[in-house]
Amino acid sequence: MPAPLWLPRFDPAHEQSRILRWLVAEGDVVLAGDPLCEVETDKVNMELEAPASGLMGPQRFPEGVTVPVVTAIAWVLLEGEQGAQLPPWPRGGDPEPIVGQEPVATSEPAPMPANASGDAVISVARAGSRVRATPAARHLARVRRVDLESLRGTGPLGRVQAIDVEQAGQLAEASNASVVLETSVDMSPLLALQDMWPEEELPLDRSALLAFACTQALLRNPALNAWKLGGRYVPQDKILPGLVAPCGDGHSVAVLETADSLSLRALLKAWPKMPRGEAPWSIGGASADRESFRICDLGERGPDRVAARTGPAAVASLGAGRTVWRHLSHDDGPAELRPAMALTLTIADGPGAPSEIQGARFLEDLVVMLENPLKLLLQGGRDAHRDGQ
Amino acid sequence: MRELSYREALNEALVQAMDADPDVILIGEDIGTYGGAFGVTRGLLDRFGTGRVIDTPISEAGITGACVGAAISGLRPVGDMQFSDFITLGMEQLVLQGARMRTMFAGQVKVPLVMRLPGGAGTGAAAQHSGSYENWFVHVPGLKVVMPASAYDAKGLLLAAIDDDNPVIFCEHKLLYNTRGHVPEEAYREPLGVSRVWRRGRDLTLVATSMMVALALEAADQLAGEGIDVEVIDPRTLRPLDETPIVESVIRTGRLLVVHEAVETGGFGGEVVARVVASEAFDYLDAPPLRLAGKDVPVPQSEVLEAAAIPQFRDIVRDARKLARNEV
Amino acid sequence: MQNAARESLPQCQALKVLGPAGLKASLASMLLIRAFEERVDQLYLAGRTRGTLHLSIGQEATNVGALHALRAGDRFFSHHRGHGHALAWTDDPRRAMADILGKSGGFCEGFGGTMHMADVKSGFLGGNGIVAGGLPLSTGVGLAIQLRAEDAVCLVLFGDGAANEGALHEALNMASIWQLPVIYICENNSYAMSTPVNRSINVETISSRATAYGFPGFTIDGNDFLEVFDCVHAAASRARKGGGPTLVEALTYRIKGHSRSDRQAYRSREEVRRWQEPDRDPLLRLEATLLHAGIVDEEELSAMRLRASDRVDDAVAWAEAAPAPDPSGLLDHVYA
Repeated sequence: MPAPLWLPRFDPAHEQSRILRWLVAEGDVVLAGDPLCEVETDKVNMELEAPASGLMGPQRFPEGVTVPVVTAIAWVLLEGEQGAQLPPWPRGGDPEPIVGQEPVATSEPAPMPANASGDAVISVARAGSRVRATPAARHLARVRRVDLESLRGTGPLGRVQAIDVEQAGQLAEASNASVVLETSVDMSPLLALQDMWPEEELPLDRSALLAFACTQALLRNPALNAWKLGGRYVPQDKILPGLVAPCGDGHSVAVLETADSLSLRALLKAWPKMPRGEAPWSIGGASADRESFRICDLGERGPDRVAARTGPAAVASLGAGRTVWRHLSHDDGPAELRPAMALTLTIADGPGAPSEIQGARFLEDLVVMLENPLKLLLQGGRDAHRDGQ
Repeated sequence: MRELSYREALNEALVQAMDADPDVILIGEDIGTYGGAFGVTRGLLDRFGTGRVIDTPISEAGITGACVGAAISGLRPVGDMQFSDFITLGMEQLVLQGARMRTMFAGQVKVPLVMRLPGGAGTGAAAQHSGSYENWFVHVPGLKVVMPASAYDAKGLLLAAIDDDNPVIFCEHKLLYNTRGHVPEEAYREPLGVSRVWRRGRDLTLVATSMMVALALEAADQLAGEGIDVEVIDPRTLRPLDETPIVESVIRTGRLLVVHEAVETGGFGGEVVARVVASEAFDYLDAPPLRLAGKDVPVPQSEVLEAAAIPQFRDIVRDARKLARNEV
Repeated sequence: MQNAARESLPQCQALKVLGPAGLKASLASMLLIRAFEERVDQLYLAGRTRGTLHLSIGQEATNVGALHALRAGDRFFSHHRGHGHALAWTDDPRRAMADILGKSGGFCEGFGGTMHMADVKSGFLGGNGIVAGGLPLSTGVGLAIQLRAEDAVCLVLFGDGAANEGALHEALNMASIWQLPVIYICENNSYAMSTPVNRSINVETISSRATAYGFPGFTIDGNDFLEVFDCVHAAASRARKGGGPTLVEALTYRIKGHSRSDRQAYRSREEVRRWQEPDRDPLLRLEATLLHAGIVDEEELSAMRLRASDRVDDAVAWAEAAPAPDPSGLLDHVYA
């Protein structure tokens, strides 16, 4: 309800007052208690204060008009009320001004003018999400990391109920592994390179190489580097690979905050500092739930294949298995027994999620890079990649 | 199983309390030969004599003051207000004297009295003989407020109230006097400040007091047929309030409906809702907590008007159903 | 010496019951009340008390005369102007002062203050902030005494303003029909706040109302200690024998305003001064009687006045040194 600005009865003998001066214009932002209007009484001139914070709404009387006491002489529009239908003026109909000009506003209040910037939105601080949801739904959404804004509520006026969150959670779980693509990388070039790698150089770690290659492949395939925002997956400019490391019975996720600007050499230099089985860690301080893509390389002691979960808000993950001997063929040639690493790409379902084709292209780029480690080594970070385009 | 009416259960509690303790006396209008306006004290004059069953003039302030004065002198008076409405004439003595005295005097006195208030509508007695005033007393630190909904609780709670060393407002409902239920013969006590969970349920927590408990249980039966599983909790003591079972229940059901006969505005429902909302149950609320209470109007005489002013069985079913179906 | 005293004193019960030592103790009590109240007045003006104050100055003969006519085991209710009653009964200015200053160690530990002193174990059932508030309560105490056949009475003090409260009617009627051992003392100090008695009551005396309830009522000189004592003592004796209640109207005068915020526009300075003359001031009157009877001499009297003043000094020092109440005990007494 817009808040009426009353001309009060200041004392028992007070019957009417002249409006001397409006101190704010219609459409101005006012705070509760701000003086809005100066009126004349028998004794002194009084200031009428804003009954609430909001936008100064229609003023019913111009300066110089005398009005009876206990008359609403203006409205203050509360947050979200601009443009809304105003309730009728309180105290039934329009009081006749006693002296002076015609009232400016009669039954129809003046339309709300926009303020100087053309933006009539009032910003009154308000904590938390604006989604209409029950406390139980909010609680469940926090616990299950479900984005409330992405849900359609089934309660009255679209209110999100606990059951909506629950069903969304089940849906998300069911759809988590809805697209799984798998390929193998011929590891012989990397193994050869590692064999001839000088001892004084930084160790050529397979996981570091994988993280770097993934970053480069994501730069080429931004659809895979997406966060869920407002109910849909939105590709992100910044690449934040989350690297899974075992931690007790679970795992921790370290986020490479600066991945897309690091050269492989820089990454290799930082690599030994990566946590192994410790608490969550990140280069650059981004938290684990900001990862835009997850990489789960369980190494040479891990299983053959790893289909990893996606991060809480990220659309895809890549799992890497240990190196095993497999029959691989190159360029339609005959299959040969090669040391091979299985790469498994998991793509979550949902609006904006990349297609299988986009996933396949990403994998293809990744395989090419990993099978040409020397070329990768010569590449820089994002700038080098762009230069190369 | 032995069955008694709510009236007989109260009468038996008084007899057993007076037999056990000569300090228990009764003070009120027409409680002797007449047996009390609703027959609760029938037979007590013959059994205990005029020294302990004291018929008074029509003097509610005098009765209340006499109870307080006797209580601080070591007796355990049970006052009878005839109609709950009449306590308005004794409010000063009850609230400003009886309830405040112990704190004002830094604990030098105990005020072990019980004031029985036969209240409630449904008899066509109109605005001055139908009131439910329990929340007036809930607002007074120093008083305890008890509201039995069954014959069993009427006896057990009255005996406990007489034992209590504080002024206890004992709210009876006129329409409950003839209701019957299992009442053991021995002088058992039901502790003050302990809620009773009448029925377990998963979908909705229904808190009801006094007369509304029976209606709530009936409503729960009907709703069970619709697949709505209602938990019914009766606080029994409004002050001190045992809120734990209510909070725990709402954590399980996510929905709360409070039903009482007293008017809604400023009523006990608001207290229950406020406590639940401020508790750990907040995060489990999946619908706005609702109150269903007497309309904000003095109780009218005509049957249709009275029924419109007081929550009815169908109102409880309607509101509970709406809540359970996410329609509010 | 004692014989001489008896001859010059009226043939009163007070001397028989109290003896010369008792009479001196009563005078000491009145002196203490006067000194105490004058000091409390100064403390108020110095801003050292909270809330308002109702001073007993001018009413000491009624305060002490009525309460010293009771004995151990009896009980009484005071009212809002109750410092004098508390001192007359307990003779403990330290605790009374602690209550007035809101300190710990008094009667009510910071909860009651000036209007709610009580010493329940001794029979002092408390002051009352509600005019006529103690009257219905006395009915219950009277009932308890009667039911247990105790040899005791309950006395209830109230002002002329309380005579017009409905609660008084209910209480007096119930006490009469049940013949309760209750003595009603109306301290008629001429004004109910600003309203003179003759503008709020259309009968000659408040005591005449007792007739309507069927028990005796007396109007006495409330500034004459001996008369108050004798009348209350007789009423108590009658009540102990099952003779039922008595209403005593003690005519007195409040020298100070109703409370400390009273500008006293309703009366003249001359009127107040008139009540402070030796023939009206209750202290001066009892002093003169006891001097004349030879029960005290001037020297002893000076020593008694000095002692009253010293005891008040001590009470103030003691109360000011007493600790403030501990807020952690705020809820300790709400329920037993």
